[in-house]
Amino acid sequence: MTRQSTVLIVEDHADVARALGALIDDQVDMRVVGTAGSVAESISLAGDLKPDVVLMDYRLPDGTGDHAGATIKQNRPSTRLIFVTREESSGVREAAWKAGAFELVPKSRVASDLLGAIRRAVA
Amino acid sequence: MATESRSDPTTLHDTIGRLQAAVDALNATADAAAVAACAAREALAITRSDRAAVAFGNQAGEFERVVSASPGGEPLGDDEAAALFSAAGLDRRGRRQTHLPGAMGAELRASGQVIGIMAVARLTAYTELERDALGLFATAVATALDLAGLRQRQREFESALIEMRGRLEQHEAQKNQAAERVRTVERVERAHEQAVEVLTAVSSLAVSGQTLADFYERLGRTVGELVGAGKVLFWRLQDGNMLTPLPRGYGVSASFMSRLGPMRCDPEGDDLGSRVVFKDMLFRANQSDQPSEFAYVLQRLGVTNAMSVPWRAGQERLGLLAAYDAVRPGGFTREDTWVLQKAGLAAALVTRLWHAQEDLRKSVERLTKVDAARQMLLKNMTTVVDKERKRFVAELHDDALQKLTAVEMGLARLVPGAPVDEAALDLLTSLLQQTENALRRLVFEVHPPSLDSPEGLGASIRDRLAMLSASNIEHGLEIDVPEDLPLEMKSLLFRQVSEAIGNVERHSRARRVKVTLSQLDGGIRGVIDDDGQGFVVAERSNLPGHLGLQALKERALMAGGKYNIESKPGSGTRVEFWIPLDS
Repeated sequence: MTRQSTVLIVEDHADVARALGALIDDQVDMRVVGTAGSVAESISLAGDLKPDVVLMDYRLPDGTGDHAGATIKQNRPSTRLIFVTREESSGVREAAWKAGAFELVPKSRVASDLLGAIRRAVA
Repeated sequence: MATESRSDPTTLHDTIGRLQAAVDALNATADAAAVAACAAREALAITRSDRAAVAFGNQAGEFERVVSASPGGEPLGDDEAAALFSAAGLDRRGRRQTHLPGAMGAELRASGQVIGIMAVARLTAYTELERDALGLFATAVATALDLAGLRQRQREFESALIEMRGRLEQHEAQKNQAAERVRTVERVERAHEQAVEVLTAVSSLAVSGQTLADFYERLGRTVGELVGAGKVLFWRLQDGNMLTPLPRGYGVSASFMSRLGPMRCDPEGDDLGSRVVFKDMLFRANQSDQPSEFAYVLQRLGVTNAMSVPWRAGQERLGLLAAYDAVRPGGFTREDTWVLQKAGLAAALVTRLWHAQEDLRKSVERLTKVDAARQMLLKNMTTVVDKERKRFVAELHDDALQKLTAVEMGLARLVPGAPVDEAALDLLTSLLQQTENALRRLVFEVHPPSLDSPEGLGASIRDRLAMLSASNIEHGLEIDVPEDLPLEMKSLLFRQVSEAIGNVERHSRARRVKVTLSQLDGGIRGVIDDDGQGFVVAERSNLPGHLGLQALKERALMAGGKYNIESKPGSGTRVEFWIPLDS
């Protein structure tokens, strides 16, 4: 059996975080190792858990996902960042790419696109 | 024949008696004609004659008045009288002619002048005694006739005197009347001039003072000087028809004021105050009036003179204007009352003008505020509408859309043909219900469905309050607003209340909230009280919910209304607003 990819979910909305977790845990090739609800928590958990992939929400209670992602990439450059965001403005996309995003998945297409994005990230 | 009866004592005695009676009769007569008539009658009796005549009234050289007598009482004809005088040797010019034995006559002499003649005749000749008796009687007749003439002249003189005095008095009266007319004209002219002075004073005072009280004070002084009053006082009709003296009256001391209290007035009342205020009575009383009908008024006020006139503009009854204690002798005149009346009318016009200006100033002030609020909002390029749209979208994103994303992912997990995961389905159902509730709430807050009905405002607020039950917050509502409010107004009021309720719901941790809507000063006042944790008002702009309260404030100002918030940490919050109904 191939090794499962590990995923850290950064999402402040509990319903969405729970749904994301359930969707990923249904898959045989990936599993959720942790869920963070803020920028600070995501940096801390990423350092502890060293996930393969971080699913990053953009708007968080204590800041924005690009700052969290940039720090995580800096601490551990092999971490893949996938931004899952409802914002689709060019400013947000630019900030995400600058922070080292592997891919951007709009929330409206999560159900169909997310799992493929995770698999591409760890391939 | 001549000796026959001369020595007869009886005849002499009889003759003297008759003569005596005749003189007595003469003395009882009133005027010349009566003297002559009496003389003719008595001559007949004294001389036992058949006929007698007396002529008198010397005019144009002839005695033109003839009085005659006969035993049967028949007067003689003119010719008979003339024949008698002629037979007696007299003519009517008094000249003596030869007399006949059966006739005799005598001249009537007074003060050396012949003032008449008198004659008698019979068939037989007269005795000496009879001739002497007639002569004596003629003297008495002449005296009586002369006296009657004198009396007549005296009477004429007296009546001339009376007539002259009458004419003199009439002349005097006419002179007085003319003088009175001149005085009246002068008084009216003076009153007119004073009225003009009052109006001039009013027009210049009206614009010079800082306040209405200043104006009343200055006008009081001017009026006092014009009508010669020691005191001038405005009495204002206050709430409940209480007539109350205004302070700062002219010449009015504190001790005088302390004697005056408010008086109740009534449009139907027949007391003095009511009649002046409501029935336009012009009142005037001086202590010197006889009879002094209003002495009790003067006594009660402690003044020697008083007058009062209505203080009114059109149908608006403001009170009365009174003046007391005349400084001119004779007290207050009717013309003074007129001058005071003009002052009352003019003062009322100024009062009205002032109130109108005050209303205008308030309107301008309010409009300026509204305009400033609008300008501010335009400048910031963030209108209330923009902000609300943003908040609407944010709430949609934060809650409903997030939940829908979760539902979508949940659905993606349902693999066709696989056994149904009951727990997952329950979760999805619950998420969809929550999403629906959140969407309903959003739509409701934008426009509650029942708002259009007549009692829609109360119903909508009640519906919104009922949603608090989910947060375990008790709620109460008191609402007293017109049912026919326009929809825009109801919508505005609902959004204000809903905003405040949302704030309580999200941030206050209150157990109880109370909403009160009432009518106040031509607008609607809303108060939302909660018993939550409260906050320091000055810090509000950094706290959650700031945007909602900011929107509440801006909406109130945009509508020309007011807004206030009171809160302290630990002692709840009161949000208060007022929206004018004509906005």
